[in-house]
Amino acid sequence: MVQAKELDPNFRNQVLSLPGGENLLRCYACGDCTASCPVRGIDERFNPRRIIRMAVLGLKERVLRSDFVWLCSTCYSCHERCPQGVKIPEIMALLKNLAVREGYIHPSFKKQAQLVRDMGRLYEIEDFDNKRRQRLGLPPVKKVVDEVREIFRRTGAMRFLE
Amino acid sequence: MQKGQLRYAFFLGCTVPIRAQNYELSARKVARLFGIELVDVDDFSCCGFPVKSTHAPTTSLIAARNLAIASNLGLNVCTLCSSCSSTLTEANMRLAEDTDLKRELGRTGREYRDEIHVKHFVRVLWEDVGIDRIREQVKRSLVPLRLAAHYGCHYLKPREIFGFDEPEDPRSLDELIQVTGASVVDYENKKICCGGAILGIDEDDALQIAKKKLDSVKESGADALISICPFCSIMYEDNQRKIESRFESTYELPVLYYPQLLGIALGIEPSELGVRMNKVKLDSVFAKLE
Amino acid sequence: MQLFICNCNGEIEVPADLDFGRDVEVHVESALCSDEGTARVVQRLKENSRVIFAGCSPRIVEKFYRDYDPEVVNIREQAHFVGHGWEKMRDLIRGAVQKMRVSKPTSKKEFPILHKSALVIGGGVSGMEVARLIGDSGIDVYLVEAAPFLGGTVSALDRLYPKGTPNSHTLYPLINEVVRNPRIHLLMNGVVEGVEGVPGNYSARLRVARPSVKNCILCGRCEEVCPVVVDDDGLRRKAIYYVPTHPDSYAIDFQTCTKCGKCQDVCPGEIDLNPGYEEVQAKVGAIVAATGLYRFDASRIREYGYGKYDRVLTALEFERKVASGELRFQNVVIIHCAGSRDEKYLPYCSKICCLIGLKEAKLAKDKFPDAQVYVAYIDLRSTVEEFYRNLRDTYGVNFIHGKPAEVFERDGKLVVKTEDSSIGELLEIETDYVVLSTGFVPDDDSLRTLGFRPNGTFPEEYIHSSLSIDSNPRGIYMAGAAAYPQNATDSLINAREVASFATSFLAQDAVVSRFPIATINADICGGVTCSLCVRTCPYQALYTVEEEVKVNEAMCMGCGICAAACGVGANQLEGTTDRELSAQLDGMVRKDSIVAFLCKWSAYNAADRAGYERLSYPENVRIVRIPCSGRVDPQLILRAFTLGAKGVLVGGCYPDGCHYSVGNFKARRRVSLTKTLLRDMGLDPGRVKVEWIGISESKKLVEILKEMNA
Repeated sequence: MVQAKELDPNFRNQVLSLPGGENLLRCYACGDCTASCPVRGIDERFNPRRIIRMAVLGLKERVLRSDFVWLCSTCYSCHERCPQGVKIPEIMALLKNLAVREGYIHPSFKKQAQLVRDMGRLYEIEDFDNKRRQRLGLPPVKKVVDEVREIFRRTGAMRFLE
Repeated sequence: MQKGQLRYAFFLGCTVPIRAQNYELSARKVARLFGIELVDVDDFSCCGFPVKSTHAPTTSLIAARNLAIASNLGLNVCTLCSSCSSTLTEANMRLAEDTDLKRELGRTGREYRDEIHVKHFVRVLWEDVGIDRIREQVKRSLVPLRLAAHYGCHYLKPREIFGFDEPEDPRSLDELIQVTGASVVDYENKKICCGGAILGIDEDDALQIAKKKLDSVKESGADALISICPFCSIMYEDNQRKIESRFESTYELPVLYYPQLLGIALGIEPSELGVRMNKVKLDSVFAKLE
Repeated sequence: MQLFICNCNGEIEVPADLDFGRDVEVHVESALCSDEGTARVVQRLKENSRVIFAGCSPRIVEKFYRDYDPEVVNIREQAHFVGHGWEKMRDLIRGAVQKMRVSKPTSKKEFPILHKSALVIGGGVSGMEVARLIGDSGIDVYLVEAAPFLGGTVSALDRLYPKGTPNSHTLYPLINEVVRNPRIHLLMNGVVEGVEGVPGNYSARLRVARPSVKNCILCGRCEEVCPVVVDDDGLRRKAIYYVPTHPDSYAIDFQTCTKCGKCQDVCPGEIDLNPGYEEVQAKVGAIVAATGLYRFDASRIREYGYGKYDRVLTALEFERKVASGELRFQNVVIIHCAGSRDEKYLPYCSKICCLIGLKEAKLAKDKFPDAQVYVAYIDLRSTVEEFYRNLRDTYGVNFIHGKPAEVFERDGKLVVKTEDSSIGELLEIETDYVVLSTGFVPDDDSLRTLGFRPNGTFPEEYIHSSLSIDSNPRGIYMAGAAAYPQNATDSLINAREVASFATSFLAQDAVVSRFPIATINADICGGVTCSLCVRTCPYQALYTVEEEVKVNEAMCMGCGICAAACGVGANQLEGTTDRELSAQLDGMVRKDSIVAFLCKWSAYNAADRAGYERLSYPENVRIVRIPCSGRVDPQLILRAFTLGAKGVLVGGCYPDGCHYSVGNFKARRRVSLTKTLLRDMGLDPGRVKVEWIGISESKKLVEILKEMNA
């Protein structure tokens, strides 16, 4: 049962104000997104229609603390089909970002972000890797890109990754 | 387009140079044959895609930085990975309209100058080289092969940023496969995602999604699956064994990157196309071609 | 000019010895509204002299003195009743005097009804009903139909919802009426190429194909030998075919006919494979467009496979095929809103397709009671409740709340993938047929010839209340589903309404319009011709002919939106030209006045109401009555400021309530522009406001005025 105090209009407004979230309220819960979703196809927890509805109702805690908010595979099938242009993948990304802001971050995404921050890419390049590339006749890959770390600092993303 | 006019900044991304060198090798080889110059750029970093779930503005800025670098070299960008393609293309569109992003970029010391575009390597083959020119260069017809085309998700979608082919009924990769002489099989779940983006989040879910494709392709009787993104290959190839054991099924389905397939048809030595690095052995494929 | 001041039975203290200038003859009356008062005034009115009435609201004065084209000064409701004194009243009168000095009378537009006849475009149920009613009242009607047979969409159907009455029930009696009516000139295989003229005197160019089959005895031999098979919305016919409506003759569909001549070989009558056309000029007084509905192209929805799988059908195709006995099935899935309410295709709701889908569900079950019928919907807009209940209860149709994602083929069967959100489960429904209940689009081509600019949806503003048929002097009407999707019953009801309007219209000797119209000064406009005004007009009453902007006087509704758009003053609205309004402001604005431009439909009436309610507001308020808030342009506002005004208010109707449909939105944008100008000039942009003030919102208006005065 959802109590009245769980319905937080500020949460809805927050989503609406972030880029990609503008069309949230257009949703008329047709379910095309859910029926198109490959994740929903094998996992009941991730139901895009339901998640959008929860955002519209302002169920902040239930969404941001959930395990399902991380499950979007960003396939964009819902985006192609949504009759109201709700931009669901953008909203999913937005919700994940909000969860991070609230202090909930899935360990896998945290790790990935940290790697990009520290290495400039997802995989650490070791000498071994470049030697292997050389053997194959491929040019070496630069090891660390410092500028990327600087970007993290500038955008403020740094503080979410400790 | 004339030969020699195709010159791109080669954006490898994170996965390809480390885990999909066969893709890289075959792409370079095929590119050279068609006179496409793929310029290596040292300063490229990750495209930013993995950070989007954590902090989307950071992704935009990382992508914008890469684009600025390319634009300063006066080069369009060519990618091998579909996620890179999607992230960079989107950032490219935003740079055209979003003055805030441009300003943010400026503050990092990078300028985005003349407008450039971003194109996936396979799209370069489809649009800039073209089927007819490819057909002229095919030396070895792959007629006996029956192949399943896998487009993946970030090659055609969202349509507003890519604007080519038809995501609901795609044809371009099918035709690129057919030009080699091989035939394309229709199969259920042709458009489904590989699940790669959530592999680290819920491995079981991701594998179940990948399994759907493998099941359908197996049922269609295809000899191999053709992929154009390293993430997709990780799911279908690297993880094929795991899926087989976890869900008690067998596939033995070879997975090839499109440039590998094309390279074979163009008469390039398969070993130069990195076929030995493919995780699922391609013996059955080559046997058919004898 | 003559100035009549009413002291309202002595209630208003009007001083003696009034002087408003040598050119103003002043009369003080005590009851301008009474019979004697009116008679006295009329006696005194001079020819070729402008007249000003100072007294109660123009709303009242116009009832009595409309024909004299007066300027009305509201000294009762908007001064006396709210406790404002003679000083203010004098200012208001002075404003009117200065305005009249530069004003020309509003031209009376007369359109003599030269042809007591009508053109009805479209031989479907609406067109036929309009034609026969107009014909019955003794007026000649040209009824032109593009197809070889009468009946339109209804003739293609099997039955009508919700009762399931066969289409013949509606169609055949109507056809009989039309055919036997000597006043109706039926032109089959005809299209309207263009229309010129004015109300009462339209000239329509029609291109009518000559009959291809003569002396037909309906033997059917031609059909047997014809090699061309055509898919006609689900049923097969030949290029030479017969539809049992009217005329009773086979006809050739030249879009598919290959002119092989086989039919000619066997025809006992006469077949002409190149009959040619006739150009017909129809001179009529009024035109009715009954062009009906066109179907949305379902193949655009790639994921539903229409066109790819031959067992995915539109509702009409399904209905025709089932009714003819061609289909057998165990399962049917009917998808509602296919391509509707979807910003990628048709963003609007076509209203009748939900009931159409239910009709098909019932049809399916009637034919095959053991079949499983599924209806997948987003919102069920089935207003006929018993019908819907019957389908759930008696018929056992499965209603699934969910918009299907995809239709694909598996092992020879179609599979529909959808979520049933009621149980939160994904369903893969195997089915024999998929029926798409698609939306409708209007006949843009026909509408364009009549001067309507298609805008991607139905031309509904032509039938909505604030722009209802009878306030448009044009004599061009839309009947039936042409204006918005309607079923046969509603179309007929609407057709009767339209026939009544058209008949009354044609019964007049002349249509007289007193709307002030826009005028274009060609000398000022010429060389600029930016055509901005042309684009702003909600009625498409402005058009360009070889770089000259012209006004279609029959279509102009007198809102002034175009006049405000003109940056060089070439476009002016009679009665509220820039000169007149400037002069009026000049006469009445003092230092620190609050000038309020109030639209005559809503905000101005709110000010009157404030008077009736004896509310009090600042005496320095000066109200200017304008036809539409869209008439106000930044120049006018700045003029008020240069004359010393403290603040300017533009009051208009609520969004979607504007009498001229978009004037208030234009006003909002223009005020926004003015704010920017003020800011650039170093002035406080808050000094100008635009507000929506409803006709009864006297308190709101008063609050705003008080706030602006603070």
